Amino acid sequence: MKAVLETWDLCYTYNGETLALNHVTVAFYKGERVAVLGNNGAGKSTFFSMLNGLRKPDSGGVKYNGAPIGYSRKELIGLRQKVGEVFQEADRQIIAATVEAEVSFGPMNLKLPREEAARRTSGAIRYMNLDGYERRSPHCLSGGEKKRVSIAGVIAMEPEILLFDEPTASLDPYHVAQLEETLERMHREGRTLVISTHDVEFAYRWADRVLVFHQGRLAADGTPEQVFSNQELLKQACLKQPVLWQAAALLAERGLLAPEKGFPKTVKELSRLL
Amino acid sequence: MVSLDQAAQRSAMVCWNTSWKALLAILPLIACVAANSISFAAGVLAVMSGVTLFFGKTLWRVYCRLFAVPLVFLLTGTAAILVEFVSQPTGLFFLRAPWFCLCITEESMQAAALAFGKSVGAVSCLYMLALSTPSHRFIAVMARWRVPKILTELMTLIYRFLFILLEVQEEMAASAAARLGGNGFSATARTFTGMASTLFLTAMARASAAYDAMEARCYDGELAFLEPAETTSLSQMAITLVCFIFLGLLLILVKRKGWV
Repeated sequence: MKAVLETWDLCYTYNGETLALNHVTVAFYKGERVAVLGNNGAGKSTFFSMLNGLRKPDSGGVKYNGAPIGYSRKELIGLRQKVGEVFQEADRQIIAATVEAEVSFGPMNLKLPREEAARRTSGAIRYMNLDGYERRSPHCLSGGEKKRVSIAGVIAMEPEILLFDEPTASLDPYHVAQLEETLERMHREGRTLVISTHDVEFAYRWADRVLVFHQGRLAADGTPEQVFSNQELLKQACLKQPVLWQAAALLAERGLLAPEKGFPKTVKELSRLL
Repeated sequence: MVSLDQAAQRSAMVCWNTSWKALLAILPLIACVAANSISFAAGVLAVMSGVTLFFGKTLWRVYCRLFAVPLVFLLTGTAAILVEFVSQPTGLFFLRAPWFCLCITEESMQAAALAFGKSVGAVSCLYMLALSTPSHRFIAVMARWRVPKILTELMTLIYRFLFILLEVQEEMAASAAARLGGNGFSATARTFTGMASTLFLTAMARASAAYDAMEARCYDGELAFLEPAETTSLSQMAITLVCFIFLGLLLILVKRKGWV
């Protein structure tokens, strides 16, 4: 299977002093759901900024559909049309005075005809259940609503690959559930989703693949089962095992769960296995 | 600023054509300042307040509270015109001080009253616009009127980021208050300078993060947003024309009769 987005030997240093990325090589495939784990300062956000050309690596590079990305204005615009990023704090992304204007920012930057920009804008608003919010000011919205606006702003550009930088941070459980429904919809549409998160529970139940960053290096790249069963890795990267994993491991230890059937990812699955 | 913005969003005139509202505000404003007449200024105040309260359905309590702010500045400003420094006591009222006198003459009273009247009339025009038009709509009209993009884009960004900075400032103030940051003059001064410098640094950091987010959505140096098409109903046009006609007739009357 051909990678849609990949990096090779990526290195980046801030101000010539702080090594943020240390020879990172990874590939992303169409339709994948990838969770990126790591402590604060592990290099996750810097890695994301490399993937859509916001920062140029000191060495190594990024490829899109097998071709190295260029850093001319035209090439970056072409790349960012395909690789969208939703930033951690919606307030840092939202710049317009109304929800509709904010969502239309991306399509308008693509110099699309007004009718097409309007179609994409209204489509993205509907997609994120923001009907009726068009004329609202972003500063009057709740945190969850702002997050939906920031996602709609990226969806309107119809990217193939979506990068989410800690999307569940500062969201309540209701909005986290809503976000997961949205991610499921995007996954069914065949988009590649890459999410950086501290939430190991979410990563375990949602991701097909987990990347673990530690001090700028890619410490692990595997399935959730491979990553969360590696105690040494988790200790080194200061990560915890998901609670459901720990519970299932305990039950398997006591012969109440057959480990060959796989560990459950949700309470429902656990109940079914029991 | 938050109340003004909220009042504008809730106004019954928010859907009116912004260009017409701008004309309804700007033409009487220019006439009010140029006419040099307290009577005409009073007429402008009455018409604009009527439009804001009756058609815009702005609450009179909100209107009075917001109007009080420029009124305080106007009073202090016209006080400077009212009171003159003279060497000898003169005029209707005077106050002796060592080496000089403060006095109020008939001329200074008339000048102060005229300045105050014209200013209040002009402010009522601007409030009619501000209380019925969210800022982004007015900025869009300015862009259509070929105001330089650098100005309109700066206004758009300032409008958005002012709210963010206000929020950050509120949070800082609450955090400072919880730690007795207002306990005495020196603590208050320390809190204020700390907040001011941190706000500046926060603004710089947010500007950088916002620029990254804009770049990620293919920003190419021009802020472009989809603005909804505005329609003009017959009732809007009729109200605007009636206001112009009334103020026009009032101006003619004032000039003919020589009213102050």
